[in-house]
Amino acid sequence: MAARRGGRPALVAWLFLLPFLAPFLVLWAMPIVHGLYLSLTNASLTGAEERFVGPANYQRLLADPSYRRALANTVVFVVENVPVLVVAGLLLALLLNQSMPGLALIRAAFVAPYLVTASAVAIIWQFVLDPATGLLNVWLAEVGLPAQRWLSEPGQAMGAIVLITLWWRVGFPLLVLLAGLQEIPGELYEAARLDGAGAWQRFWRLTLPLLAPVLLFVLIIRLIDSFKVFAQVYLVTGGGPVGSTRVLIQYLYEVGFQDFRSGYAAAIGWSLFLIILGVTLVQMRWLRRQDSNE
Amino acid sequence: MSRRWWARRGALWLVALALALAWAVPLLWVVSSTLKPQHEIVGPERRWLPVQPTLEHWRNIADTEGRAVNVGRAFLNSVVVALVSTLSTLATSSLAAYAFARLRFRGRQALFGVLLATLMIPNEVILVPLFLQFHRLELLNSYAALILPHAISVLGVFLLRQFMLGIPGDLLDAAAIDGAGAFRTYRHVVLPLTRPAMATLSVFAFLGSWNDFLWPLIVVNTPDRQTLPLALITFRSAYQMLDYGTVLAATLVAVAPPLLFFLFAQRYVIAGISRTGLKG
Repeated sequence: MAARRGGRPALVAWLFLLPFLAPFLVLWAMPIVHGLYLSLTNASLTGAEERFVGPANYQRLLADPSYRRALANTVVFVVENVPVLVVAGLLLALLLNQSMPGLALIRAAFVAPYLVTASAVAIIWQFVLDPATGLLNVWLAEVGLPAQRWLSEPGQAMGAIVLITLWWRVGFPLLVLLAGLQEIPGELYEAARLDGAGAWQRFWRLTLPLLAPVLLFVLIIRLIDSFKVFAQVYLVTGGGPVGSTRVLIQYLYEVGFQDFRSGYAAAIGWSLFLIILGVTLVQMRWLRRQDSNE
Repeated sequence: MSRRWWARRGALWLVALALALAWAVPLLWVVSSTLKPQHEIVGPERRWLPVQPTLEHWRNIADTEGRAVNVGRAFLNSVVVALVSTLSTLATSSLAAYAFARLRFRGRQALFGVLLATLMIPNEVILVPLFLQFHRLELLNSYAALILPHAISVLGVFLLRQFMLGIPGDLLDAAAIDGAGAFRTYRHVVLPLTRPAMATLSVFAFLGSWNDFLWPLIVVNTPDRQTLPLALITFRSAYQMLDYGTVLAATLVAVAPPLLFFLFAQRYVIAGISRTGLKG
């Protein structure tokens, strides 16, 4: 076959690419560039002519109390949610990384909520956490503990959201870490045992270092996902009580799709991307340094 | 094995069992509550299992007359949107992945690099420009608006390309010697071998589309275009206090398809979620 560049083989390749590439350009590439441009304008769907305003939107974000509050709430969620999910996922993976009766069913119980849509999660948990009639307070009463206000208490609402997210999302870290554990060759444990290493030592010296790449992956994915938190919060608390759970994406949604200030909303979106990018880079760097110190 | 060893194994098993039960309770409670009369769901007479089982909530769902939300219609919308999105993702991703993995063309590396770079950018960043795009095309509140953003997947191209790179070159050479063109090689040699990765991708594509909430919330503004996640929320605000059972029955309609799919294809779903971690 003629290996002429730009000849028939290349044409065939572009034909294979076309069904993906055309929508990709229209639905991904162009909106990314357009969004960056929008964030430098005062674009709005409610009239007012579109003008280029430079970095003004970003400067305004820094001083916008609603934005700062939403960012702070998001950070609180990330700081609570990421360790809870990763540690719970790791503990469950260690627990389920052995043969036991009914293992498939037990594992399925943890994975099933991962497949449930956010609206259903919200409806179910509002029933469970209802202060007057909810299942959780009923149980607390049965074991003699005081009822909690959960979602209607500003100091408690974000904690309740973290609990809901744990139930909903733990299947992902669990499955990925479980697969990671199963990649570790059993002979290594056998050798460590012969050398007299206890279970605790085997975990710290063997399991954890060998699992590190998978843990890093789970950590980064969870971190990115947590910064983008929206649906379960919006649907369970609506951002309340008194704005204590209003997160960044909710603010973006309100600015962009209720006030229709497209330019400012685009800037919120790009700020989120920059934050995620920054945190990911710092985390990778930090973990690499940990690595080289060992 | 010693008695102590067995005791420890047994204790860990009980812990796992208790936790799994705690995780399962909310969903099991939804299933049982759809068959209970209102007073057995909440209040002092609440029961775990229906004492006087009833189908009234399911009749309410089926009876669409004068209801704010038509659950059946939303179910059909969800099925159409999720199926078309999934099939389109599988077709477009596998074609493009084949080109990136097995065909030579100018700019292949650069183009693939651009794709990988866009993978870093969260969907939420393009929410506003994408909405304006559909607004300009006058496609808001249409099936096209619901389907198109889910009709391709950059991650899918990446996943399938990695998998196709693992197919032995000899097989493809043999096909070429037999006179098979690129499309026949793709269709009859590469696709059958890529089945496990396609199964993984279909799980993600289906879940991503079926469960999506934010995008439909933005582009849909009439009840007849609502997918289940949106319809559920309208339903909740209309019936929450009056009729818990009917809200929960509608909830079950939304969560049952992915869960049933999971039940029958557990191996693929679990392999799919796990694989993203190991090869990622």
